[in-house]
Amino acid sequence: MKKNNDNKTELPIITVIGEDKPGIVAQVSTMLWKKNVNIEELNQGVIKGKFFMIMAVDLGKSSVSFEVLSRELKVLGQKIGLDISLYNQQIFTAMNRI
Amino acid sequence: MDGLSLNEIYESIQLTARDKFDIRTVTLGVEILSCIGGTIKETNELIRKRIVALAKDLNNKADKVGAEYGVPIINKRITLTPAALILANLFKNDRERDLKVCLEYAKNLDAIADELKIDFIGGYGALVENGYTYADKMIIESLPEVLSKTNKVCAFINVASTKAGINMDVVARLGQIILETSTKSKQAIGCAKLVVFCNAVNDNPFMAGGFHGVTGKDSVINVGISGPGVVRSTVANLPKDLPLEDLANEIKKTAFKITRAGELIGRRVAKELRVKFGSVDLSLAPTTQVGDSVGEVLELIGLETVGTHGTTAALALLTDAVKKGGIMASANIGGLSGAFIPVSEDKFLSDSVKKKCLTLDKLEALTAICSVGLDMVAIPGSTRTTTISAIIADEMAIGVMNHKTTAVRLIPVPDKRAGQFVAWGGLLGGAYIIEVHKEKSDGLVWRKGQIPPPLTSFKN
Repeated sequence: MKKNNDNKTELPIITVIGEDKPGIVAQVSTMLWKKNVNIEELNQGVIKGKFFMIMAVDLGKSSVSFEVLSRELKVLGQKIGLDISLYNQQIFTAMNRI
Repeated sequence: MDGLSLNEIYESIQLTARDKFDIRTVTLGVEILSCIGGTIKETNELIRKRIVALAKDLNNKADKVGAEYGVPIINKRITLTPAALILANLFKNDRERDLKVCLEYAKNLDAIADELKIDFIGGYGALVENGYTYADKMIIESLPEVLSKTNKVCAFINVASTKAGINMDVVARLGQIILETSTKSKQAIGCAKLVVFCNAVNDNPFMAGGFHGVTGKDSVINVGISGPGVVRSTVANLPKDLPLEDLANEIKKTAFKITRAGELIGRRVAKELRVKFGSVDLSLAPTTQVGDSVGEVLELIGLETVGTHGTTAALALLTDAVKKGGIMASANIGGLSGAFIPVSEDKFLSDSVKKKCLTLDKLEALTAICSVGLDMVAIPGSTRTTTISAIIADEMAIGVMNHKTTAVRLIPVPDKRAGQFVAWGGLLGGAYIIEVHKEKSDGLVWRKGQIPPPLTSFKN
């Protein structure tokens, strides 16, 4: 994963899945703010009765690496009862675009 | 986000979370002709150095890439240049001594696999469809010992091709070799590491039959994608009366997605290891896990039990749709690419054998359609060696005449009769012993010689 990447199609994507409850966006974004991870794009909705949110994030100025952020998001997810994961965006583009 | 919708990302994530999509294997192919030394000791050391230099990071890099893309890579494997080509120069025409050289060579490979913590190391084999050299013969003769005294070494023998026909001298001997191997290893497990091929491919990432072909690159990453669970989910979520051409189309779309994911991940692992990327093998490879069965997909298409009438047609639709979706997705489709039907590793196939619905004859018919052949089929320990040879000959004939790869991985289980169960555990699962015909095929097998290639092979 390239750092300082201006191309938004290359940014890592955070996915959040779970029961809808107040404060999800706040808790995730607070954690990202503390790590100096910039949220470039955010989209959320309800799919099959579940809350689903995706965020494209820029780790360019962040203190943490992809691997560390991935682990810490998992831990946060367990704490607040949601499934939070970090993906390389290329996987979604490869699977959904010709 | 490249215009990606919430729904697209959600569905992509579900493929791994819900439908068990994984990369079944990332396999590093390594050419080792350049490692032949003056003695077996020197050769073994050169091979170890070469493999370790290339593959020392295979395990952790593969895991890292898998985590980054959210698709687990289950197995990491290595395939090598066929052993007969490496050992030919080290043999001295002294059978006892040369068989020891074979074992020393195989044990070295086993130790390398342990050192690198990889699942299997393949390439212990020979290409003998046109006849066999002394070195080929030694490799074949060493199989019972090698397969029972090593854990991770996988063997193959290519005995037939559309161009050459079938080498029945070797087929006849292999019946004896397979039976001997079965008695030398616990519950005949050694036989699970030997594949007899027709039209073997050079870039097969799957085991036990994978080897690094001599026409290939110095080293290469080939990827084997799985995904019966993903296809199962696709079929299960569609209306039961959907016309077959529409069903085929939906399977194609799914195959496209998982192939794209596999190629992306394979290329990335190759880049991390500084090795060239080879090909994606899009094979639906079942595992013993619930929901990861090719048999179940076939039943969902509309069969009460896999193995009944209509199974060949359903498998034809499935295999073809998988190939078409995969070929659209990647310019580097290779290996076997289709649907595997390893009986012991697929719960629905195994259960059907128990019910006596899926028979050996029906399995043979399915192999004209599926990507490989009679795979992980347990047969009674009392089966005649000539019957084993004849089963191999039938399977090779299907491959020869249809210009396709076919293979046989038969496991005669000592002291077990048809209908009894044998459990190996782990990846290999367990299987009910399938019935074989009692009528002999001795006359055919002991004629020996070569079954000539078909007219359709003369295309020049």
